[in-house]
Amino acid sequence: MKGRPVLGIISGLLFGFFLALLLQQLAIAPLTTVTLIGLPVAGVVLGIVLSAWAPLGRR
Amino acid sequence: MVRHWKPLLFASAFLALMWIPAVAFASVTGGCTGSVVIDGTTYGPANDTPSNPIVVPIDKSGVSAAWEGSVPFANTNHHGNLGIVVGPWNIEIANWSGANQADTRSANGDYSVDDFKAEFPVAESLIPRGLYELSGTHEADGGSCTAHVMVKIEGSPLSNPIGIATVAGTVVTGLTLLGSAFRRRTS
Repeated sequence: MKGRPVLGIISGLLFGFFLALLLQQLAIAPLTTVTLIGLPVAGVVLGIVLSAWAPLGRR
Repeated sequence: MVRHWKPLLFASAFLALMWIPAVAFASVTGGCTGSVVIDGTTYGPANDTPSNPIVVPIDKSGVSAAWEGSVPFANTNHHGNLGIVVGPWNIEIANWSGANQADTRSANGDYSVDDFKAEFPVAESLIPRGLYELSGTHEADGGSCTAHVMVKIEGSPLSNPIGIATVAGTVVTGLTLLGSAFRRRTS
């Protein structure tokens, strides 16, 4: 891991949760299993990938 | 191009997740019918997608909803419930039951949107706006129906504290997620 995996997992989980709430508040998608569970899971995966890849910062 | 496969893959996954709810809904099963007129617009079983919801103008006062419904089967000893879908759960907000010995198969009435607002234990400005999926069932001696519709409580998410906290939370956690993509310094 070149980046920060713990930060990526936690922030990815919370980002997915808030994104699901935002989609509901903006009347784009209701809080279904796909959004309320799926988006946080996708956020965790995204956090792991971003921290493993770490495309930002000094090389 | 090969270098960019990861962001493209995950952008595609996010888009797919967001599109699934828009196409995965069915409406009424069992032959029951119903409609409601709110603020001059008639809604029915077709209002079951996020892009075509039943709109509740919560910021207006004095609005009433004229509703009617019927079942195609013997409606004695009936019971049913209505709930809000939250993730894998269905939170019950209403239920009904009765012997209905007269076998009444249709009903209608008026429901005040102001009464709906009064059901919330918070001030009107604090009622969460946005899109909700409602799911309900009705069973009787002659058969059963299931239904779900989309309901949009009209208003800007930035008009109440829950919406403001949601927008702020999305921005902060999004930036933090981006921070996890920075390389750690190696000495």
